[in-house]
Amino acid sequence: LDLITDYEYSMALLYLVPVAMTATRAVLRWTLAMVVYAAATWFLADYLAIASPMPRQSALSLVWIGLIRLGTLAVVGVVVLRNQRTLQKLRAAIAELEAFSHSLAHDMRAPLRAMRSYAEILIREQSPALEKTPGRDYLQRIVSACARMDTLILDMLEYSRLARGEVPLEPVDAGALVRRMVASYPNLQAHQSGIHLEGEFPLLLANKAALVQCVSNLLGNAVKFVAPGTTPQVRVWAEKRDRTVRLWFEDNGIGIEKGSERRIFQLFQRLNAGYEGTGVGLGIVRKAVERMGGEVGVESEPGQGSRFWLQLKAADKHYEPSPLHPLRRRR
Amino acid sequence: MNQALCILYVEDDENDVFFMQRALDQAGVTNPFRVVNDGQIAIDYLAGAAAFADRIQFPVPSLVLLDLKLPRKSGLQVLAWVRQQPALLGVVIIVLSSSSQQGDIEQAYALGANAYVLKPPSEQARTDLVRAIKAFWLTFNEKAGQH
Repeated sequence: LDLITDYEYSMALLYLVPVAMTATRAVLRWTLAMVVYAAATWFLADYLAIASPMPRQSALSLVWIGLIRLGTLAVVGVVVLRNQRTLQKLRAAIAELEAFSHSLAHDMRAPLRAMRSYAEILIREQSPALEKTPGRDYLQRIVSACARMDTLILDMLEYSRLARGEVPLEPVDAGALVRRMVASYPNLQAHQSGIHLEGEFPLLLANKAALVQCVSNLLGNAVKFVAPGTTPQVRVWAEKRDRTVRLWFEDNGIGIEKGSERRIFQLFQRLNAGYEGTGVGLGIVRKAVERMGGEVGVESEPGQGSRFWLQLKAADKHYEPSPLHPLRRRR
Repeated sequence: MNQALCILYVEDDENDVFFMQRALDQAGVTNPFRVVNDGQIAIDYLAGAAAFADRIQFPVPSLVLLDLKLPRKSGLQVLAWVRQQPALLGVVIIVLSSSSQQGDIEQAYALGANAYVLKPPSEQARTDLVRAIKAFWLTFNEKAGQH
């Protein structure tokens, strides 16, 4: 009984080779090739069964076809398993990296605090000696550089918190939220009279903390990036679109150059040298909106002001405000 | 103000210890001030273990300023331990941390912290904080039967 012929050798190779290859290679282009190969052999099995020197219905030919099919399934199985494992490893690596950068950013604050405090102590205690020397100015610069870096670190921590943390959604009254922020945030309060809310604000499906973060950064920018001598004028309104709501923030600021509209939402992008900032604010807005399943964008002309928008899902009409809902209670 | 009330500062960063000492001086706090630089030593101190058995030199504190990130035992572990000691029920514990993470804050309160304060970033803020602690926790706040 000579079962192993050349033909059968090639059959065996047909499914053993890809199984072995996928088992050892987790690289994407290999797995892609293997999936194509597996699909091809599935149909090839039928063709080879016909082309086989054995009678078509013989038990042996059925066994071979069965084996090829099994090989195909094995390839698919191995591909899926490997991809799953690679994905898991990747996720773990990303989580580890995020945790690392988070604790690194956090730990950088202690030495920074020390530098700033010692410089402040020098200014306070050595001030007679520093009189009429540039030393005092240098120390002041150390203090403000430390303060700037601390803001930067805090912004990065905020960004990573948004990127990593849970962002549960709930119906939010954006109008009340914006009104309350304008009245209570120190950097907005000063421009309170220039910030106008117009029209109705439908309930949004949002995370309150994340939305506060977005509005704070957008309104903060709106009142900050104005030409010297200009009084900030900001209009905020909501536009209902099907099942989403777009919040608009229009300012009379310095505007954004054409072609930079996408870039400004990236981290550390600062377009104007004359203004204090870390370049993280709009990155935080984008990340927060993304985590809430929405979109963000801007329309602008230099010198004509900017219109930022963020779009989120509209909340269900049937939502009944709970009596403890702090935003509703205010009305 | 009862001058005998002792303050224990649990902090491993010697810069922060130096700044705290200064802020206490500037705010005119003259209470006995002791510092331990790791969580296990803090527990040993509070328990009056061998090295700290002398309660004249190492009085039981009325106020503990507690950092969270500490060698050996974390601040939260120290907090949990203290709140299981019936003899230490009256000790006021103020967490003084640089972590603004909601998880840390909630856990600290759940374990029985009396207050949670972020480490002040500047000299001025630190002095203001110590003044506020002096005014409220060392003056107005009624201490549970310590002596």
